[in-house]
Amino acid sequence: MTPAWFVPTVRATEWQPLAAVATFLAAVSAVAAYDGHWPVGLLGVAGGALAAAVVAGLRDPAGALLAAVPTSAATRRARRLALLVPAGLGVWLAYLGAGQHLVPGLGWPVGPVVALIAGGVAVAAWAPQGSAQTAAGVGVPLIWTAAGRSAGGLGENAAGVLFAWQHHPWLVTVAAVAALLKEGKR
Amino acid sequence: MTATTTTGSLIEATDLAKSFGRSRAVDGVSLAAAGGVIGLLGPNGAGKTTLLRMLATVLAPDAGDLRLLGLDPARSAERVEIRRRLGYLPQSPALYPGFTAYDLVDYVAVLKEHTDRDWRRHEVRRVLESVGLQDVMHRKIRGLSGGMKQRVALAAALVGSPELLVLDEPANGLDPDQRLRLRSLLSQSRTVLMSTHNISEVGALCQRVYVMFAGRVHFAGTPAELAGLAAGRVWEDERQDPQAVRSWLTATGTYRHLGDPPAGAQGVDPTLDDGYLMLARRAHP
Repeated sequence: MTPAWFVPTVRATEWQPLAAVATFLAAVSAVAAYDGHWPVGLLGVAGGALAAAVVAGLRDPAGALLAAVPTSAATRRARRLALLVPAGLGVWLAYLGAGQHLVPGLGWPVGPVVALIAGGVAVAAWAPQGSAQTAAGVGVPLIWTAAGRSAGGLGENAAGVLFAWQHHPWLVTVAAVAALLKEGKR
Repeated sequence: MTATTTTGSLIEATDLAKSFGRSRAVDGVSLAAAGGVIGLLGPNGAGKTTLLRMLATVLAPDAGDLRLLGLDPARSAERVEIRRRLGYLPQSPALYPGFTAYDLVDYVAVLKEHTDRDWRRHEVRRVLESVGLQDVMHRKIRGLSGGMKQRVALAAALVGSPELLVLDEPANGLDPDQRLRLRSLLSQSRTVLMSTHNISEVGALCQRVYVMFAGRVHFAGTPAELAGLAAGRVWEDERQDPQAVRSWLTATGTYRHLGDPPAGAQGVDPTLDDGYLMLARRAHP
């Protein structure tokens, strides 16, 4: 027996961004399998896109109508994340799984994607209310991964920040979750 | 749920203020409501929506005191309790296009913590019937007209017969028949605070009216008192009068004038529109 919120939350969640990225990653995997060469260089971009798609799923067109219901925006967001994050990580693991036999030592780098998702969600939660609220969160994983790819010649501190999602993913995740919990108590 | 008995005013707002950047949207507004239908009038940008969002617990005021249903919305637990007893209709809200009207109102009922499925089934049908959507309740929202979507959102606000209804332009997009239905629906509700641009709606429905200009309340009183602001200052004539502060051509082909009537002018009874225009003239000479 599922709780009353489950089915309508599944239906209200924006799945199209995640479906689009999943389709893209499936196509990349298919081409890689055909070529016998898996694009390791795309890993960061793929992770950023996937994390952005998960955050984009939080967009709630009926948010204004629901703004004064007793179930808070934080609770509604947590419910959507409970659906989106496992689905997003499932896509990610499937993508990594497709590369395992082509790239020895690829491993299962899940932490960086979790960090990118957490960072994006935290920014979306703290961004000012409005139409651009989710967009602000979507931008985080995209900008963070893109900046990391063009960060040659940076000092140690700047590079540390730009690559934190890669080098210290669980630290980033804990900080983002703490920010989310604080926002939920506002 | 906490059972809180409320006595006296359901809305007590004192000197509320809210700014967005440098723009002061609401500037020292005080308002009280103990029951009935209260209308909020004002031009675009007067601060009505910002005020309603504060009174619906959606937006926290920057300054001032606010109590709703005898509770303090600044305290998290009390805010939740207020929201259990409040219905809110924002201005032109977006909905989930893939939901049916029934599904959307049912989802709002779930988020209003009504977990009993049988109760919800009865209540969702009741509110959808009350807004005249019984024949289309199982149609997808994307296929409904603008007026129907507005009524779906209104039905969502009515779920659970809230003690306090905060409605931002509820008659938006409704045809005359539906406006009449809305009037009868709201007149049965306990306490309603609604903004509108339709002055005749205020006359037909509201026991009390507040008029806002530039973030401030410039008038608080009954609709009759608002119309009375123009008493002795309205006249009609065949020709335009350059001395009048406002003049417009009526459907009968005569000019209606507001201002200080010239000697011998044919005075007429003021309407709510006349009172509102007189007030607007005072607020922005």
